[in-house]
Amino acid sequence: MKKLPFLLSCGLFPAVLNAQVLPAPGAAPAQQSSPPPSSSGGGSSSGGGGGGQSSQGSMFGGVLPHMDSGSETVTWDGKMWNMNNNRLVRSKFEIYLATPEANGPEDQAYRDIIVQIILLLAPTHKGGPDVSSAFALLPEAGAAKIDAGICNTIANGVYDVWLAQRKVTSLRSANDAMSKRRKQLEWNNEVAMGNAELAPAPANGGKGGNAAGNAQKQGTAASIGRVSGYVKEMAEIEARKKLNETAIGLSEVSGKIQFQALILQMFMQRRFEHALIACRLYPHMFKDGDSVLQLDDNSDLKKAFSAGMGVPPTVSMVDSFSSEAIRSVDEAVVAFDQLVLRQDYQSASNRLMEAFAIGEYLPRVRRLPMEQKLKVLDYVRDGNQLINALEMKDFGLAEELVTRMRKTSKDFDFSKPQAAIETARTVTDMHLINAKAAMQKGDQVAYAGSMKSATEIWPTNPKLRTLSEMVGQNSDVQAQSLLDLDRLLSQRAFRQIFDQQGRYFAAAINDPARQEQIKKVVSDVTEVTMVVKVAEEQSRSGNSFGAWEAVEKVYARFPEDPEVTKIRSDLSVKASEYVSAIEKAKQHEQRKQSGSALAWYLKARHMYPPSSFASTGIERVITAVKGEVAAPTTAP
Amino acid sequence: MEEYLESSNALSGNTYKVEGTIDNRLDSWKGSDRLFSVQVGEASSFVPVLVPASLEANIQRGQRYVFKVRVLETGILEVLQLLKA
Repeated sequence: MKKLPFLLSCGLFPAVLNAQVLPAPGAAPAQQSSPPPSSSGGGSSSGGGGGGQSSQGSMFGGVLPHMDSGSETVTWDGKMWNMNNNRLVRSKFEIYLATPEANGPEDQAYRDIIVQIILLLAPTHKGGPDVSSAFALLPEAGAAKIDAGICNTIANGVYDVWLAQRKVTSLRSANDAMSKRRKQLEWNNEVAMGNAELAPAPANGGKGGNAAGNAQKQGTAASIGRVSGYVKEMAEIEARKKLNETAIGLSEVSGKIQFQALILQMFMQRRFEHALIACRLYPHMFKDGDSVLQLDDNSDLKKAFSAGMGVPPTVSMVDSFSSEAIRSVDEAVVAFDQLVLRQDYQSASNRLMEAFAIGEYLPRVRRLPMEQKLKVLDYVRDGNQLINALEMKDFGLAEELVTRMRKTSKDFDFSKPQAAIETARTVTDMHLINAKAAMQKGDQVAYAGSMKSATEIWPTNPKLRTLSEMVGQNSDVQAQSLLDLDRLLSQRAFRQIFDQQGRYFAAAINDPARQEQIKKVVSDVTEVTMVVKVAEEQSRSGNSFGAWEAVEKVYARFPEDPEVTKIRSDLSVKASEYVSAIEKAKQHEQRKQSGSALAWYLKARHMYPPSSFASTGIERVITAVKGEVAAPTTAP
Repeated sequence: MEEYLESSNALSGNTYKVEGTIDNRLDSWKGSDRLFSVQVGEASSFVPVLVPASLEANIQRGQRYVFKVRVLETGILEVLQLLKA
């Protein structure tokens, strides 16, 4: 399982691998690698990651993703994803779950051919690996849609190697021919040099001697000319041979590198069956026994391959990793089957996701029955929706999903989302309480601040909307209440204010002047109410005169009060004789008929001795009469 | 009596004989003058009667008198003479 993270890292982004470029042997590394990036930044940051983070630490200078198995994060192209929460992976997995299994006849035929090719190339094949037969099946497999033409690519790769090897053979033949020719030239050269030595020596003195000497000189010059021609041609042959030898070396290395690149590409694309086929073709293409992968020493891929073992990566290693990947996928699918039976959908979906991430194209994954996949589809969909809900801070929906998933799956680990939901609820409730308190105090700034804080934590909180609507309604209600209050005050309809004093007190909470008015109204109406109650009691006990008198006093202050008006009317009938006496006395008093006024007041007092109206009336009239009488006396 | 109750001022200057019971003293009047309420008739009617100090009568509540009165401009009955009934 130690290989799993590496395989996952290779498998998550296969599309990227089409652009991979292997560094040439001995060439300078395209990117200097560095230690893997710290995952402490952690968490899922699907949208972000450090934009400034360089491609250091990721494979092939950022072309390939790097996975941190500790934090389950994948770093690629300067961004960091949580492997389990990545939207792309999640959506691909959901598509896979909702896709019917690939078990049609065409798919079966293709699988049969692949199996047959692998068997033909296996070292255990009877009579040894049958490369030709396997090669012949490749185009047939490459025609299948699911293969995506990869078998054709392998076939082309093999053919290219064969062509390269044929070219090498031709170059070697040419070099052999050139070697033969060089030997001939060397002989000619030696002969030419010998001819010069065989020429007759010049005689001493005389004409004849001079002539012979001249002839010898001419012969020597001719020999030198021929020799120099031979030397020049030999040098050209030698140079041509060197060029051919270089070309042979380059052709062999180039062929190897191209085929190794093909193997790695298929491995990275998680086409493990194809990688196996290519790996098993490799030793038949290159029989020098050298299967070391020609990777740049500083490349992360080489480090990833050799880090655990301390040996250079080889084609056999890729073969082994591919087989291991296929086996681990098989195991994961078996585990998935068992977990589904136990209704442990969280673990089941995780195992299947691992299998899918590694072996998306493997038959075990492609042919998993739809019925089995659908059992976890709803759970996975809810899980994805839960992640989205938490990302979007929709804790209401998240809570619904958590509840549903707890019912659905026995092993759903709800602690983290539940904790997030509860925390959000607690903190927003706290802010909402502050907002309410601020609203009651009329502190708009504090209210807005608390509401903003609450909104930032849980934007879709229903309590937020409720409070917001309540505040809006309260604003309307408050304005309307104040209007009503003013109207009732102007109409002196104190009883109505008294009856809804709570509403008006709340509306006038920030208006001290109005509050004072309401307090006075409440105090007055309370007094009136008490008087009315006492009057009712007096009336019931037969003291209608006293009751009327008490009511009449408050009537003078609150003539609009309906309670007072009503009881006054009732008592006026009951105490009509007394009321009539008082009224007549008042009328006469106003008309300065003091004698008549006193007579009526006295009569009223006789009817109701405690009458304050009568007493005060008598006092008033006497005082007035005294004044009238005194005035003429004191006047000059 | 009814006329007095309707308009006492209209009777001012007239002299009447009134018989009634002293009900209450209302107030002193011009130093030693006294104002009483006198109940007259059976209908519990009351009239204000001013007893000048010159009469020097010892008037007590509940005593019944026959008064010779004159109606003042204010409608108050001023006693001219009084006699215990």
